[in-house]
Amino acid sequence: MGILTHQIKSFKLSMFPSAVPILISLGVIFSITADYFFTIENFKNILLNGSVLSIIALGMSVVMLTNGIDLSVGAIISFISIAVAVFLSKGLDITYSIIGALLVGSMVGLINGFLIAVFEFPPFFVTLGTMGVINSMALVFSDGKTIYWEKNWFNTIASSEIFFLPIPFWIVLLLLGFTLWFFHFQSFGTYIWGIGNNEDALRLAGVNTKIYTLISYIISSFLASISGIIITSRIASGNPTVGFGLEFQAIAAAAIGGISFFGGHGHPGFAIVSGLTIIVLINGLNLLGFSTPWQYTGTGVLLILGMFLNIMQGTGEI
Amino acid sequence: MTDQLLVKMENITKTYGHIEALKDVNFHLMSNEIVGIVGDNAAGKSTLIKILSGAIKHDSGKIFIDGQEQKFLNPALSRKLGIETVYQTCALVDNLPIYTNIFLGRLLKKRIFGIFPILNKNLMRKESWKLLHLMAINFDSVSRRVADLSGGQRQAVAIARSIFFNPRVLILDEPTAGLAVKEVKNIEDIVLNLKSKGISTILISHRIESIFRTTDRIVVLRSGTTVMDEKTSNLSSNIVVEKMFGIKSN
Amino acid sequence: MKIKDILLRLGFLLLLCVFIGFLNDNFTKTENLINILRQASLLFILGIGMTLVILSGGIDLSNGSVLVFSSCIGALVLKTNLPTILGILTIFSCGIACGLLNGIMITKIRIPPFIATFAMLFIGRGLAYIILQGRVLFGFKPEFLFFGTGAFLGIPMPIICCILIFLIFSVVLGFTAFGVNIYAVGSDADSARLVGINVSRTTIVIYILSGLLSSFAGLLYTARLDTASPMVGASFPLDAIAIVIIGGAALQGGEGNLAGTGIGALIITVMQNGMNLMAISSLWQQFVTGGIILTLIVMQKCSTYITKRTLHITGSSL
Repeated sequence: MGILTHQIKSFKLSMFPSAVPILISLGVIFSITADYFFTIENFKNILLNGSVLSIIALGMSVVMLTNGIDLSVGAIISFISIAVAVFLSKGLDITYSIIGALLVGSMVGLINGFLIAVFEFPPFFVTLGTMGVINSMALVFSDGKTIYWEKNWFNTIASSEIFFLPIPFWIVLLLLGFTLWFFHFQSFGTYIWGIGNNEDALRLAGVNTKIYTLISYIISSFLASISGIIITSRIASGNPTVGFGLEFQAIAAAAIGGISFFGGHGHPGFAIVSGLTIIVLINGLNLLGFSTPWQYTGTGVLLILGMFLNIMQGTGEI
Repeated sequence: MTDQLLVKMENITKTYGHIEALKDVNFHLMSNEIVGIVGDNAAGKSTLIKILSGAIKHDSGKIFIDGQEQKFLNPALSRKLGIETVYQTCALVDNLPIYTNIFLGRLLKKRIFGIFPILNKNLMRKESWKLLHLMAINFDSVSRRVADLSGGQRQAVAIARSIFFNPRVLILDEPTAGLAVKEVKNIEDIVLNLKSKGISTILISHRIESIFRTTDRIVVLRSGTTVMDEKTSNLSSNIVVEKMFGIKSN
Repeated sequence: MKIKDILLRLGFLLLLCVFIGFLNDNFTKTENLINILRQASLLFILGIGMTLVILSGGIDLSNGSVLVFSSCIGALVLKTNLPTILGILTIFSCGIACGLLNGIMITKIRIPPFIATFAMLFIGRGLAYIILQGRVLFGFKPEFLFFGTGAFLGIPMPIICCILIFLIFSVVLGFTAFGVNIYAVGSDADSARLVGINVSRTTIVIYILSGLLSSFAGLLYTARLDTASPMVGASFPLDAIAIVIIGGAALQGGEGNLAGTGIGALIITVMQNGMNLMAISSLWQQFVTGGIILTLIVMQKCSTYITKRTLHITGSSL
C-alpha cells in the first residue's frame, strides 16, 4: 500500500497526456455545435465503437512500452471474426466458440512474442509478416466472403446493457482495472517499464525479460481477439476485412496517450482515453456533416496536435 | 613569445531542471598552455568543455574566443574558430570507415568537370594514412570500419581527427579512460608534443599522474563551482584530491 | 554493406526467375519482362526515397498519400489550358511541400517520424479526396501521358526515369558529403552532431527528397493509367519499406544501399507477376510476401552470425 500512497501523493496534473484535455474540449465543442451529440444514444454508440479501439490501443501500449510494436492486431481482429463466425455457423456452442477464438488469437501473440523475444527478430518485421499471413488466412478460410450464422445470443453481446451501459464498456472498465492492478500493485508494470528503458539492467538484476516481452505480445493479441469478438457481435457476421487498418489507429491512440516511441515512458491506461478521443472526433465530425475524408484528415490533425501537446508538456518526451 | 588569452569563459551557469551543473564558473586558457580540469563525477567538467565546444548552450555568462564574444557557438563554428574536441565517447560513427570518420563534418572534395563537388576519397585515404603513421599508430588499412577497432585505436582515430586541422585549442575529455598503461603514455607524449607546436590543450582526466605529468595549470571543479585554479608546480596530488572531494586534512 | 550481400540477393532473384520461368512459359516473354520492369520501376522510385529515409534512421509512412495528393492537385492544373509543364511543377511542388512539412514536424517539433509521417498519411489523402470532391480525373493531354506510356529508344519512359533517378541518387549517396552525412546521422546522430553535421538540415532535406520522389512516382502512375484518383496507393508505404529491408538495409538506419533496394523491388514484382501468371489468388500472395520477408530476415541474421564467428576465429571478416 505504501507504493500506492506514494504514487497518489506524487500525482500531478501534468501527468495527464494531451488526450484528456483534447477529449474534454472535443466533448464540449461537439455538444454545442452538433445536435445529436449530447444524447444517450450517441454516447452509447461512441462507447461501443470506442471500446474496440481502446482495447487494442491498450495492448499496443503495453507492447510499445517494451520498445516493440504489433502490426498484426488488425489482421488478428479480421481472423478472429472469421474464426468465431466459422465456429458459430458450424453450430458450436457459443461459449466454446468465444473461448476457442480467444485461444486462437492468443496463439498468434505467442508466435509473435516467441520470434521477437527468443530469436530477437525485429518486432516491426515479425508482426508485419504475421499480419500478412493472418490476413491471408482470414481471406482463405472465408473464401473472401462474409459468414453468417443462425441468430443467437452472441449477436447481443455488443448491444446488451448492464446499468444502461453497453457490455463492451464494462469490458473496457474491467481491463482498465486489470491494467492498474498489474502495473501498480504487481511487479509486472515495473518490469515492462524496465524492459523499455534499460532491458540489460533488468536482465542483469535477474529478471527474465524475455518472458515478459513474450507475455506482452500475448496480451496484445488476446486483447485484439476480444475486440474482434465485440465487432463480430456488433455486425452479427464474420468479415475477413473488418480489422483492416486498425493497427495504425491503435498506434496513433497509443502515441496520443503518451506512450513514448523509445520505450519505457507512459501509462497504458491512457490509451483507453485516447482511443475514445479518436472515436469522439470521428463521431462528432460525422454528426456535423463532415464526410469520411474530412474525418480522415481530422484524425491526422488530431494526431499532430496530440503529439505536439504531449511534447510541450513533457509526457511524450523522447 | 608573449602569451595570448585564447579562451575566456565568464560566469558560466548551466542548469538541467533543478540540477545546477555549473554555477558562475570562470575559466580561461592562454596560448602555449596545458590546463587540466579535474573533479569528482558530476562536478561539471564535461558540461564546461561541451559549452566551449558548442555541443551544449549555456544558460548565462559570456564566452570570449580570441577576445571576441561568441554568442551562438555550435560544433561547426567551434571547429572553425580552431577549437577541436575529443569527447569521452569519441564521437565516432561505427558503421563508417576510419578515413571517413577522420574527415567527418568536413569531408575533402574535388570537382568533376570543374563544376560538381564530389568526395575525394583517395585524398582522404592518403591523408589519413599519413596522419596516423605520423602519430606512430599502426593500422593495416584506413578503410576498415571503426566498429572493428579496439578502445585504444578508437581514441587514436578521434585524436588524429582533431589535430589534422591544426587547431589552436585541443580539448580532451577523459582520453585515457579504459586504455592500457603504454597507450596512456602515448597520449601524454602527444599532448606535450602538441604544446611544443603551439597548440594549447584542455585535459580532463581522472588520472592524477597524467595531470601532473603534462599540465601547466590545474583547475578543480566541485559540484559545479571552481574551487581551485593554480599552477601545477605549486601543487601536490594530495592538495588536488582534497580540493576535489572537499576533504580537509591536518 | 558488402558486395556479397548484394550478390546473395541477386542470386535469390535469379533463382526465383528461373523457378518461375520453369513453371510458366509466359514468364519469359519479352512483353511480360518489360511489364515487370515497368512495375518495378515505380516501386523502386518510391523505394529510393524510402531508402534515404531509413538510412537516416527514420521512416516515411506517407509516401502513398503524398503520391495521391500530388497527382490529384497536379491533375487539376493539367486539366486546364495551362501548359503541361506547370502541371508537372505543381506535382513536384506538392511533393516537396509535404516532405518539408514532415521534416519540420520531425526536427523542429520533435514528433517521432513514425507518427509525423503517419499523420501526413491521413492528411494528404484526406485533402486529396476533399479537394477532388470524391471525383476521379482522367483524360490528360498526350504530352503528359507520354511520361507513362511513351518510350525512348524503345525503352518505356518509367524505366528510363527510374534508371536516371537511381544513377543520380547513387552518386549522391556514395560520392557526396550529403551522402556520408545521411549514413552518419542514421548510425549515430549524437556523434554526427558533435562533429558539426547539421542533423536537422540533413533530416529535412531527406524527407523533402522522399516527398519529391513520391510525387514523381505519382506523376508516372497517373500518366500511365490516365487517371488521377485519391484512392490508390494505400499499401505503398509498407511495400516500399519491405523492398528496402529485403534489399539489406537495417531498419534502425546506417546500413544499406540503393542497389539492394532495386533488387528488392524486382524480387517482389517478379514474385507477384509469377503468382498472377500461375493464377494464385491474391489471398495467398500476401502469405508468400510475408514468408519471403521472414526468410530474408533469417538469412540476414545468419549472415551476421557467420560474419561474427569468422571475425572471432580468423581475426578478420570475409
